[in-house]
Amino acid sequence: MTTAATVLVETLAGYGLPGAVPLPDDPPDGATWRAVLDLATAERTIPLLATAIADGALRVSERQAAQARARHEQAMRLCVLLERALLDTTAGLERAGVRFRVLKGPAVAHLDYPNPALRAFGDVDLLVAAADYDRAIDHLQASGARRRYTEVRPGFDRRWGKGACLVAADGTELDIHRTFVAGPFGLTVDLDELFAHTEPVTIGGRTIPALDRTGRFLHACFHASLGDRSARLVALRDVAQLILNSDLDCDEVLARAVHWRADAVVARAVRLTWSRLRLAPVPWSQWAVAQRADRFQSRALRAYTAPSRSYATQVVAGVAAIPSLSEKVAYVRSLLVAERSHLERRDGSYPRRVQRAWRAYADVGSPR
Amino acid sequence: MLWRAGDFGMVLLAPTGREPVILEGTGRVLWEALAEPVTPTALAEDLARAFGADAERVASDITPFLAELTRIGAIEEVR
Repeated sequence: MTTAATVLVETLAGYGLPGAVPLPDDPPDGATWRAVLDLATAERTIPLLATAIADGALRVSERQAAQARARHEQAMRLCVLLERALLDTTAGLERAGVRFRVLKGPAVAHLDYPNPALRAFGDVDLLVAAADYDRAIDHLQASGARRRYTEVRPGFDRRWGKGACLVAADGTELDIHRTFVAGPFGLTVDLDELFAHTEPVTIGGRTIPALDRTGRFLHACFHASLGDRSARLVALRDVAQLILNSDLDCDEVLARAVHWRADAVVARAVRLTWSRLRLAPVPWSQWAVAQRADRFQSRALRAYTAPSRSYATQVVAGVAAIPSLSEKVAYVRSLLVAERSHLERRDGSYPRRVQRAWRAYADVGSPR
Repeated sequence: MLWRAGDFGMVLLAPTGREPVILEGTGRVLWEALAEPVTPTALAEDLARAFGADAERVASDITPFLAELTRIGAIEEVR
């Protein structure tokens, strides 16, 4: 992947935002263009590339413009198909009495972007109420969906986990969340507070509940900061979109983030966003640069950001986020004495599992 | 109806449609003209005026298109 392609795609991720870097005057050469198309597709920012070309902000050949339009059309075909799956899935969950909130792509596309065609997404994410979690999974499995990964032990996900990734009978990937992320920052989210604040989103003529703007922004920050090893540009664009193009209530955001012991997560997301999208400084980005993580958050962040990061480091780091000793014991016991099928797939044997857990603890537990 | 609009035209997924339908150029204009109830005759006349075409020819062109949109549930006849 060429540096020129990376820089251009990162710049395009900020297209249309106040303070965004201007696009180059010269059209990209052939090799750079091919890399740009592939990278923008992987980063889910094809809509921004196609829109910049249509607006005349990025000069390309007619053939290149047609290629960008074709990829945009392809991305939007997937989005409407996923929205059909979302509507079908949520209708079933409603009938089963499961409380849910729509997360990420479909919600922010309709609520936070001026045109939903600017925001591509590739799966369906739903947050379900913790008390309804088992019923949600049972309902979806009865409808033909299968788990992608085995649960550590029955009941672990409902009590402590991020959730489950399911694949529907038609191949649609359904991410059913109990909280935002695995590990410590998923355990400090106040789920009752998260569920209490909603905003309706209308998709295909049907109105379903999403998180309120503060909740959507915090989830965008969690995803950008803690999600992938290198945050997808679409996740960073969500962070910037909500800061720069919406009436985000800063005090409310910070109050909730501090309550969730996750203000360092927000700061990291904003720093990453402003750096990679090359946006002009604003009060939010200046706050993020100055923010200092406390000891808990600093150690917790390592589980998600260190080179050795893994699901194992995150769940082991989760011990620190559990307040009571008896629950810590139950959590650790569940992790170590895993269900046999899970153990066989992940570690092979109990001694190897214990060894992995110890290594994960050493990776995140060492004071710096 | 699920849809997206961009420089590529429009992507529509009707309630009973299996696959999304793509509308480009005049197809998109026609779709946007169907936002309010309209008779096929009036629709053909409006499009003919907009594109400087013969109204009868336009009516003949849009008939199968309207039939397809009706079939997939994208539009419905109202009386």
